[in-house]
Amino acid sequence: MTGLSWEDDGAGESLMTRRSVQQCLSSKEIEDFLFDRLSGVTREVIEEHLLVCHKCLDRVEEEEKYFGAVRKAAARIQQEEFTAAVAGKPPVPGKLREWFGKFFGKGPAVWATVGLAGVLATVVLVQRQPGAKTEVEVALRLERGGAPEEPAAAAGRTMILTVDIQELPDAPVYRLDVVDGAGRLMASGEVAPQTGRLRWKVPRVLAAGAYWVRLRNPEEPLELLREYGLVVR
Amino acid sequence: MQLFSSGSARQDAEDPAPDARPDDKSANTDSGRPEQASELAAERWIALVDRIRDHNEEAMEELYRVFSRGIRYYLCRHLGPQELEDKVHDTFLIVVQAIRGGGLREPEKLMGFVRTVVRRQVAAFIDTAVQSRRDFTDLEVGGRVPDIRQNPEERVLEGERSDIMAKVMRGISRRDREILTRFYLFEQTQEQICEEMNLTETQFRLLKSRAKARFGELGRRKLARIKVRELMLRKATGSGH
Repeated sequence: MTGLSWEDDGAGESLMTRRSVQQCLSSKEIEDFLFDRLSGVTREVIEEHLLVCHKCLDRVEEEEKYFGAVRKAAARIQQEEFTAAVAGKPPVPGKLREWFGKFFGKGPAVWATVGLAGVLATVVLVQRQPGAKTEVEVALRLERGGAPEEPAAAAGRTMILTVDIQELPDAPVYRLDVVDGAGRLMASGEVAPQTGRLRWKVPRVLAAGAYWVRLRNPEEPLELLREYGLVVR
Repeated sequence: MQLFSSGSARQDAEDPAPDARPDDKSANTDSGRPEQASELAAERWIALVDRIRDHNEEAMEELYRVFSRGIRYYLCRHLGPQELEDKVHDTFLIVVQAIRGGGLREPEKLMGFVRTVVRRQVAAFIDTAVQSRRDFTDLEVGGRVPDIRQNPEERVLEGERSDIMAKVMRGISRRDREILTRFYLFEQTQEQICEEMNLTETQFRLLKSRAKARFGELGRRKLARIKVRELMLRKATGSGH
């Protein structure tokens, strides 16, 4: 059996706090359900309710679409802001740029001002990136026999992946790729082993989702040495 | 094409939804007494299970009508859309066979029983998938990842929804955008966001509601424009009546 998160049966909840299975879901419960924050008896009861209540299921599906739209939009805007900051362009709307040009002209002064804004934006963006205040170390393990429990990491945090490579062929460096569930490359890097381990700081903060971490020898890029599952919540 | 349910975005996201009755008409919550609703539901499940055991075809149809949508949603959420209909039917058959074979000892707990069967099906499918990946890893170069893409129409709709939401988010302040990003993309809790960004619960809820309302409003405008375009196109081609 896989180590699924719902295997706990809510030993901590009592009959007095038990929610009725007949009761329809509140907005907060729908949010908690979609964010996988429910556990125990409450989770059981809500999942049972959703098996039969089509009205609540309609609401959950509608919210899920909305959540998906916000996530995609937020990820896209984050990427745009990051790209603009790295390129030295100020992350300001087009109309503001026009206003700038109108008052300050297109001479060195405006470029200096814009450049400074770009530097400030870069600094602010890096320091204020939400949720990336701490690093989290995730050990990727190879499980033999049975279903592995995929390591989980916290979304929005810088991740350091560690891999034990003692059983692998020796190489001066190894390449690690992180791909999402659709096979899109999210991050890539080459790491030299140290004392039989690889320690790699993923250069990108990952959003919640399921990912695969692929390990290769850069000199033999077609050969996949290992692949690990990684769940980010 | 339908982007949104009508009126759904206007609902204040933070007010509990009015007590909508479950599809189960016999579990009438209007009485306001959950015990009575539970008793009525239990009676309904007992009667349904008895009829299924008697090989009543209408009972089978009722079971499928009541549970198939919830089962489909659960399986899709945990396993993705691949071969979904087959999995739903497999699960349904297991439930029916268990009922007829005496595996359901407490008919009034039919909902819990179905949930347990669905959970075990999910675990079994994951086990099978993991074993398959192990067996084929050495033979295939590059590994495989499941194709979780939706059908083309759903992808287009999803793209349009995210375009609209991106427009909403670009139209709000950076701080408000950060709040929404923390909540939806990084899945931070309301409490954490309020504490770190010095917000009250009311401010947080208001921002979410406004963003959602704006999203719904832009979506409806877009739908209205699409309908007008379609109407004009029909008139231009002479296909309209």
